[in-house]
Amino acid sequence: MVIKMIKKYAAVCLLVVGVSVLLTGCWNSKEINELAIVTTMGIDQAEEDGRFEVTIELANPPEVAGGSQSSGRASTATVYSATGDTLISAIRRIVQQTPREPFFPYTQSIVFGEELARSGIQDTFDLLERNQEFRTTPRVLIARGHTAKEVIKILSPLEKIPAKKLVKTSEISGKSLGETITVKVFEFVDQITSESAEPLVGGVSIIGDKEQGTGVSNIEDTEPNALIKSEGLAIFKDGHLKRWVEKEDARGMLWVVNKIESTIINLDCNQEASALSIKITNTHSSINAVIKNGQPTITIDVKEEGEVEEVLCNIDVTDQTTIQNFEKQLEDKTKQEIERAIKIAKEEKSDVFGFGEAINRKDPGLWKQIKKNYDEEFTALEVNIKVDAYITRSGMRTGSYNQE
Amino acid sequence: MSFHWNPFQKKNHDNNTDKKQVESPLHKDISENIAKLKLEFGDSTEIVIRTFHIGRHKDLPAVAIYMEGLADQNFVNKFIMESLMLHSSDIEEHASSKALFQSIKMNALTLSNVKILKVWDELVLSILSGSTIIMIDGWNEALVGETQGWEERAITEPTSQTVVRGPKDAFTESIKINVTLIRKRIKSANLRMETVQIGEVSRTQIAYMYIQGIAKEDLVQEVKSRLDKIHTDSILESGNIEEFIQDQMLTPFPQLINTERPDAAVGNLLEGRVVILINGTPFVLIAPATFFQFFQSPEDYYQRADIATFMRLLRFLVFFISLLAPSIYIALTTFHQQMLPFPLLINIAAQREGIPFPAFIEALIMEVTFEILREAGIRMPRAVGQAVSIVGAIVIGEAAVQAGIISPAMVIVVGITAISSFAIPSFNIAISARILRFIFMASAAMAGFYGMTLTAIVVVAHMNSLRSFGVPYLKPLSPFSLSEQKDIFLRLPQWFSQKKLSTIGNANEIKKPTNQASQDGD
Repeated sequence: MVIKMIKKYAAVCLLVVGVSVLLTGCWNSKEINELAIVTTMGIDQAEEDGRFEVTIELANPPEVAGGSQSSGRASTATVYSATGDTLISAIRRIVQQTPREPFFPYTQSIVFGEELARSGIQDTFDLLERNQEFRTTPRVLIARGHTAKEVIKILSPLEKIPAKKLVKTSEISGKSLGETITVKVFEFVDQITSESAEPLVGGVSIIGDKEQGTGVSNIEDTEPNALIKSEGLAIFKDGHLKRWVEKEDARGMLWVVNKIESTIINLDCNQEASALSIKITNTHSSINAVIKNGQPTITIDVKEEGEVEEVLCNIDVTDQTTIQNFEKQLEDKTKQEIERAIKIAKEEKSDVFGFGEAINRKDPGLWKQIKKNYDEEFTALEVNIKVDAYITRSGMRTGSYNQE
Repeated sequence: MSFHWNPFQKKNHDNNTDKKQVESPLHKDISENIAKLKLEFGDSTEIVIRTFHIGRHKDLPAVAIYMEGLADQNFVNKFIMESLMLHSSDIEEHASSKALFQSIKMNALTLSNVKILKVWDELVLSILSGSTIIMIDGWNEALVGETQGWEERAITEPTSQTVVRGPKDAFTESIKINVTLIRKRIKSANLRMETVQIGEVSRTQIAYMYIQGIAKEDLVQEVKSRLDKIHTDSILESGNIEEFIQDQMLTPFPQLINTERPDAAVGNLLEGRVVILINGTPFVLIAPATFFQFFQSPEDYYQRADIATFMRLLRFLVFFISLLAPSIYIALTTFHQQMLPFPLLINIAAQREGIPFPAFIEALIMEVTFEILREAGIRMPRAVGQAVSIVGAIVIGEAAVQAGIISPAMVIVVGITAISSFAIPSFNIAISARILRFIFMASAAMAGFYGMTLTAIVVVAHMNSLRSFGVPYLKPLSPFSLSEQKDIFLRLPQWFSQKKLSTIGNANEIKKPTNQASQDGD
């Protein structure tokens, strides 16, 4: 009797559980080949019909993966764009043109057109942080002198996954040249929302003929018609792009924010200008605020370590005093770069270095007082720069070819 | 010890019912006995009934009965016929039949193992076991001489549980040889063996062995009582016994270990377990068994501890691969695409372009195909076995992918799953993984990792509810016992383990091995 009841009860339980599990079916399942994988999203100012023009680049997996699935003729990516008053409404308009629903987690980079960047991009990040499909790790890039759409459309050789052409170009150039950086969305949002810091963003531009760079033919030639080039560093102020800085000036900024991994610095040698190259292998910098009589001053400590990489003049690199002279010259050169960078930042009233943050850390009370008119405070801020340079190695040769 | 109520176990039959005919005694008249025997065996041709006369004047009728093939004919000739017919002349002629019977047993038979039987039924059984029966006219008892001598398979290397390093002998079909193989390894009087006969028709000899003092008393009692409760016609293999005595029927997990390796059986005896041997099969049963034992190979204890630990961890990994690999692939590609690295996602998406089935159906087709191939590979005559592997390789590997029905990634997943299931040392736990794999695949197809997690919870809860002879199946992980972790995921050096498996055996009876290296060094 009891067993019978238990059996009945068990059967009912099984039925309820079974039905409720089976009837739900696979409501959320989506086969991997039904996804339109978004690799890059570009945001431009719309000329008509709304605020934004959104461009997305969808990967074409068979062409990217190669092998037997690849036709070898089709492009590795397809670009779609649409306009709307908000980003999401523009994205939904894109669906009118695509057979599959865009899938955003793999977005590698967010590119902003320069025009939009100049008129302010602080509002565009709401969707990226609110929507669960977006990650906060795509790299933020500014299309210098172009619209985002133009930059995204360029096909590049070597990197088959189309989004990587932008991100890698920027990252590699930042790593080995030290004149640009790639920031992730969350870093950018942190800085743009902060009162005591402003973001620095790397730029990408097109060299060559941008009209010719969109076809598969662009990757067939030894010299492509158009190439993506990582170029310049954008200074922002309150979400608006203010100015591009280049080369040594850009490097000066990155010295301060401790973002230089490696770079090449040319020094003068025996009255010959830029005849000796130093490869910087290791750097560290720190920003400290010192409060004196209620007046903040900033101290920047930069330590750099490098090796002699190329010598075009007649010197003996094994001589300790020669090396010490170069170290001195290296320190001076770095210091000049930093000074120029600070001057530029002060001109734009954009605290890209986070000096305000350093003051806030040191004396929060003082920061509360000065933050209301921090722009003036920043312009007048006294900055002391201390650079220590070390040249530790001279490569696999001792003397130079010119040595007698 | 508490045992779970088990509705599927056969109800205990009343043991008295089959003892009715046992009590029929032998007849004094020898010709009566012979006639009855002939009737009983239905004039079977292989029964040999040799009548002869013994005594000084050769006038006392006697008979020797044995089964041709079961008894060793040379043996019977030499030690029974010869000794009775030639050397029985000194037997007192006019003594009573009883005295004569005693005299034959004491003086005439040159056999070491001689018993006296009074009951008809035992006599029949003795003949069927290969003994020779000697009866003399005028006395209602029979002498039984042990003359078994049928052809045996020689001791060979194990075929299903091989090791690289370790003993190379395996059990055979003969329980006698099997007992010897165990006895040979433990020269202790505490090694006990008890025998029972199970199977009303087959009367299979079953023995269970344990070490007195190490094995717990109530475990031995439980094994005995469960064996006694078995009521069936025949026992042909250890699997028959296993089905009767396991705790839980409705489970994919085995609750008894079988082995064909004497060293494995001995190792378990020394840990306090009971070994059940069945005549007629080289596989012996070991009780109780816990889940983690199925991942232990005898070789673990012969290789160095670090090697053994590495191999054991590998086996757990392999178990999870064979259980979960296809379901993880399904969950990743249909629900959690954002968990894949970007280049891999692109690659899989490219492969799946144009595949007509959803990942679940694709996986199901491949898994079922593989199961069919595996089954065919076992059944096929060896001569055509080659054909199966060729067809299998072509069907699975090449044609399905070329035709665009199956993606290459799926072939890899099914391949690694198949190989993994063969790397588990115990064949029956590998089958559990095979069955559960399909359930996991279905839950992955319905609700991704969420569904798999739910299924995993149910499976683990079920495993927790299992007992093997009163021992929790997941012991010593649940209930947790720190001191017993030395031989679960890791295999720590022998000298490290102070107590061995207190869950099963009496721990204090086992001596602590010492490390000579550390003694000498420090």
